[in-house]
Amino acid sequence: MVTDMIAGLRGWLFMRVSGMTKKNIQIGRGLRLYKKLEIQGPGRVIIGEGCTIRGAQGDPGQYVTLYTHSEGATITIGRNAALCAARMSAKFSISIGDDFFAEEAGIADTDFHSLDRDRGVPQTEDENKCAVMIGNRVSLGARSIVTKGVRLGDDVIIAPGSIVNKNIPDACYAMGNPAKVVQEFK
Amino acid sequence: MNTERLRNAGAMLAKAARYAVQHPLGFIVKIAALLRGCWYAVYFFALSRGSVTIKLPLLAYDTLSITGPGRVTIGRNCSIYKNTFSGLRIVTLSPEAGVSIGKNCALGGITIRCRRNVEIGEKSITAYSLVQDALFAEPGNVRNKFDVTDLVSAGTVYIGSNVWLGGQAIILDQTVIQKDSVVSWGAVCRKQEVGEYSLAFGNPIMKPYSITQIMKFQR
Repeated sequence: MVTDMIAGLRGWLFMRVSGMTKKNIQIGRGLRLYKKLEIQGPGRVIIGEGCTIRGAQGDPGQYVTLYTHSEGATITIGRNAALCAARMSAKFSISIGDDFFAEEAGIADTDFHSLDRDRGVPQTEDENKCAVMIGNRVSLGARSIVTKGVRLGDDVIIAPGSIVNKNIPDACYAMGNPAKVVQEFK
Repeated sequence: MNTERLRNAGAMLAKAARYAVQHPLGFIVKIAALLRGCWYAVYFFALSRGSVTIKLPLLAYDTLSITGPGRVTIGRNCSIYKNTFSGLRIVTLSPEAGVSIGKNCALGGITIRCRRNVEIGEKSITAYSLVQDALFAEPGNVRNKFDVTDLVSAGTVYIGSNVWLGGQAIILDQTVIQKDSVVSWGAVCRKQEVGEYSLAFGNPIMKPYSITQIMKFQR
């Protein structure tokens, strides 16, 4: 009860301070911060209304990070998202629908380095190929990773420890490396 | 019977003295770990009002954190080693949750999140891994349009004695791992049974191989 109030207050303060100091961040009302939220980089970050930021259960060292690595990068998160120690890195765009839930999971829309020997900036990536689109009511399990260019449909559940590198259709449960559809909801 | 016990104690003391002379620094670290284990036992017993029981001796080389309202028992002669990240973390997410760890376990880096029941047998070795007896630690946040209560509900995890859990392995609900088995690096188990003395690998795990067969193949 008290922690909820403190989280609400912390979220309101974060919203106000980031609204004053940074132009590229846009946060909806009703943000609750139970744990640290770190937003870095020159890109745009848009968070919808009523989001909750938490840490991983039993791991006090982890917190939510939203990083943008270029001017044109955008991270868009819909309403009522619950992020528990989720980590996102965007170079192009990550767009997430409403009621998103991630637990200790990672999303990245770039490989950060090319396959060349010099390990420079990857040249073959562009926005059409690498943008990550995630639908409404998606849940990501602990220690799972969504890689570049993946589209997840609505009502998808990803099991803990899975690595998603192909598109996943609507209303299903996927697990494994690479993630495959195990069960379809009806 | 009494004399035999006395003789055993004498042998142990002699061994400890020899160790102290041969490796004085190691001896000091070990004594510090023992004292730390004693402190953890008293601290968690007092903090949890009796729901956490840690049997001594416990060698705590790294941190132990137990949170949540459920029952936790750790058998005697366990040790918590340093691993990639901090030591042993146990979270019970509901009052009916129960975590029991057998005696002589070597625990390091493992995270246990429990909503119903997690059991780890004696003499088990763990690396940086995750044991979670449900798909999500906080299922209230899953807002699927379809009915997924079956998928999200908690099951039980049973890990037998003398099991070796590799690094980054994930053990999920309704998993049974029989004794003497090995779970390989990065394996993910859910709703599967790994037989006695076999090797489980892959994500999700493939059909476990019997280790006796693998040993034959190696020769």
